[in-house]
Amino acid sequence: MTVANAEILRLLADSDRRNEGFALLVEAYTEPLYWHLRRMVVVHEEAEDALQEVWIKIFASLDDYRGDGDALRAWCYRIATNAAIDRLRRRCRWRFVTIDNLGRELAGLVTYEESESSESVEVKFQRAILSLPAKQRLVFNLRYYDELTYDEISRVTGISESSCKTNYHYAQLRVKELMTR
Amino acid sequence: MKEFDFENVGKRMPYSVPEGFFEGAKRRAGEIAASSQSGVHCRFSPIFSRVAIAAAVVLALCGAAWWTVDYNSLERRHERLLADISTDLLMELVSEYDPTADESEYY
Repeated sequence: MTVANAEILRLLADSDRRNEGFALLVEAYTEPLYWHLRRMVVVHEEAEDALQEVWIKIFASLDDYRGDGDALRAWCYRIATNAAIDRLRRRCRWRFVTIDNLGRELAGLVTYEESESSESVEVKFQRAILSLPAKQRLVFNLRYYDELTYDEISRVTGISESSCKTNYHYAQLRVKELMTR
Repeated sequence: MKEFDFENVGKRMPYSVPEGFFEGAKRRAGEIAASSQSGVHCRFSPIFSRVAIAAAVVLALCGAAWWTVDYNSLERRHERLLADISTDLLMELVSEYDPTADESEYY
């Protein structure tokens, strides 16, 4: 991915091949970013809308990107995370709930979409994650599903690497506890 | 009780997407770049939006002026209607109205 990111950046820096670079970026990150958004907002339509907003924002911000290939992934995830949080905050505002409490409400929306079952381990797992405090939930998802490094998670969330590790550790413990009940 | 093992679920999730969704999403994202490349549209869009705003203001002013004129003509129409009613009919209508009466009588 690092080599691909370097190639993407090289194309983006070339004004004649910028769209080609953007196409590669879209190809590489559409699915990962969608699933990251989906894990945060749960509802497919919300994730779909958020994803389009993310690409618009990324394209508009390409000139502002100052990092190297290694930081590109974190940069994209940061934009996606902020888009998801904005959506959740808007929902919180008119429902007078916090993002932490909203997570529990979102957990109620999780069902197994391939079948009628609402008791599958996948459903229970997602509900457990959604019941975590917002920060732990975010760090857990980025580490567990997206396998971002703690340095990348720190860039995405704005919290220190050591805090990221702590959050992930406690998130794992809490999820294990909920899944064992 | 047996401790939960993350291997039991791995990265599986209970979510699905409609068939062809990702292809469509990538295509829509690609359109963002393509639409920015149509330089004519981008170069003139600030001018276009200003013209549109100006046109909307002019239309609003015209609409307000028309409504004022129309309201005045409405008043003149009421005056004409009153002038067309015969004096006898008008007196009959006025005499039937008793301002001191209890309104519940009328309902």
